[in-house]
Amino acid sequence: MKTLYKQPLEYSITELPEMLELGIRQNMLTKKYKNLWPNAISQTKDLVMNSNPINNSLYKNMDISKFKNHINKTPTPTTIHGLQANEQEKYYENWHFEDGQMNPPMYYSTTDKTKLLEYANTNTGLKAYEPYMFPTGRLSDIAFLNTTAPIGFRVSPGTTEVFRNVFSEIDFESLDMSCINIIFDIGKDSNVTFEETIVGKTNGCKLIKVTYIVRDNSKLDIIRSLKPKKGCHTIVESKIIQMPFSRCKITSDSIGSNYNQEIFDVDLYRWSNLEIKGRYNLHYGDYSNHVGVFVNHLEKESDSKVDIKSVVDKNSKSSFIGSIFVDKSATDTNASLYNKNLLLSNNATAVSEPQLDINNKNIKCSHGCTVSNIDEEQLYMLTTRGIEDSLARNVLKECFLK
Amino acid sequence: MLITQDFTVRTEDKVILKDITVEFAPGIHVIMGRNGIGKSSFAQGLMGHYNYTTEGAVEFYGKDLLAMETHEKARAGLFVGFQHPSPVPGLSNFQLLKSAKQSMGNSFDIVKELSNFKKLSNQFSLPDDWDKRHVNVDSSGGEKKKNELIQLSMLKPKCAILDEPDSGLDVDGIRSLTTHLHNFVIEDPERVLIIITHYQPLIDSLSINSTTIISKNKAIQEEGKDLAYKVLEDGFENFV
Repeated sequence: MKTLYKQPLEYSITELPEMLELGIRQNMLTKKYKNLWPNAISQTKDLVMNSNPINNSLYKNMDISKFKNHINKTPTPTTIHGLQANEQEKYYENWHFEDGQMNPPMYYSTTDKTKLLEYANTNTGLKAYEPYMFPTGRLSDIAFLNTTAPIGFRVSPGTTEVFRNVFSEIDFESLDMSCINIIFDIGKDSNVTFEETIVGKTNGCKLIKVTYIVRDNSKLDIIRSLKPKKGCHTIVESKIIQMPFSRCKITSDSIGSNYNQEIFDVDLYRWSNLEIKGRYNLHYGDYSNHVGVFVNHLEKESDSKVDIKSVVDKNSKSSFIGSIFVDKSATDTNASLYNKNLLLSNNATAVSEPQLDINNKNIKCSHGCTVSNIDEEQLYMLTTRGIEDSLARNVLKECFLK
Repeated sequence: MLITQDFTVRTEDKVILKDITVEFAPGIHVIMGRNGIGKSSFAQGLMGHYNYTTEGAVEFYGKDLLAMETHEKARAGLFVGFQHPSPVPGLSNFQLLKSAKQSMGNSFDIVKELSNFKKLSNQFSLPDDWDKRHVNVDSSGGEKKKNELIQLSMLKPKCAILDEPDSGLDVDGIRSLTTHLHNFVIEDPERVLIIITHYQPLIDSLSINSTTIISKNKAIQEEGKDLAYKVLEDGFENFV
């Protein structure tokens, strides 16, 4: 589906919108299947062409120039390759997602508990998801426009299941920017766990937009790990819509990468409950990791708890921006937002920026951000018990990340 | 055996103790001194606290103590109890001991060690889940002191300096403390136990080898506990 040139074309994210217009990159929803999400496509196109989301002030502390200046290359016929024989068996154990492609595990029957959402098959009901696809002004708009096609699946109501979801490319040598737009729709009364592994692209860029719809009275656990590859740039933007009585618990961990950015944007409807726990241990060279959490309490009596911790060592960079919005109708909201950073090197940086937008007095809301060093007294106490300095520091790092 | 010769403890901007010469043979010893005179600094200076620089000579069972890093001193057998033990959120009491014992090169039979830990915490009337509780987090003063005694009992050092181990303990706690301190030196006659205290019932109940009164520029040391009783009766005025 991609246009292949003998010589690769080099481009940065600032040039990507024009490549879509020129037909160098293609999105099935802008051509043959343009009636699927016409309004979302046209509004996002207008917004992106008018102002590239890479310039959004949201990214001001996120070291975004690393992503912005990275030069990507379009694929050529010689750079595309398939799975090696020894890779196949492992590959087919899990769900795999990449740009416009989704592969269930080999022996998995998608008819019982899941239904694939396919753009080319009107029976799958993908059209109904257009209301969730309108532009955000963030980089997920680029993923939305530049993916080959949206993918995803719907989990049938009442399902209890663990899904192992891997985001990695078969064509791992490609230097083309991977854009993924994926929808997970969790049916009512379900209890679902997603074990997600998001693998960076060696010397490349990856832009993922994920929409999770957690229907009434469902529970979704997301256990996510972002795995770095050399020189990778990975951005994952998660939009979570929690219907009444739903629960969502997210645990994300990473050691960072050349460039990591993870955004959570959550809409909470009445009596829903959200918990986000992020644990990031940046102990390699100049790795970076940037987290944004936006929690929107839209109706009454919803709870949210955000707890993000980062250890920042060597020359690494970490940033956090978090906001809690409480609608004026969202009475009896209970929200907390905490970000703690342990800074282990004079050359490392950690920036933390909490924001509150509260429009209702009848709520409980707390927040706090800290940037601190290893506690000298704790370190000393451990050494008095025979634990040498370097091990004691590791023990305290692990304690901090608990 | 712990011998200090002209031992001096400084912070960045002041001298806390100067030229302290004392000797602690195997057995139990008491250190006394006015509030703020530097008794805790003496203990922590010996252990290598990061706030202090030290001078002089300290012989520890024939080794040069001041040439060692803090963790090396612990591995050589020196244990210092804290007046105000620091909380370490995220680290359980048992995990601390496991890391400590393994760092010291000791074998660690987890079933046996946990059983021993639970037996000790039970003797000190600590909660059943004490092994899982985080070190000194949400603990009372007495519980912190009991926790240090568990560490002392499990790490089995050659020499322990305990800083007001009686503070915060209730009547039963004092009784357990006395028993454990007594047993500490009975188990191994080569052990040295130095207690910083002014608590008469504790002094009464222990067999004391020597009493030392520390002031800024000198230490007065006498055999037995008569000196301790003189101080308890008359105060420090005649000794500084």
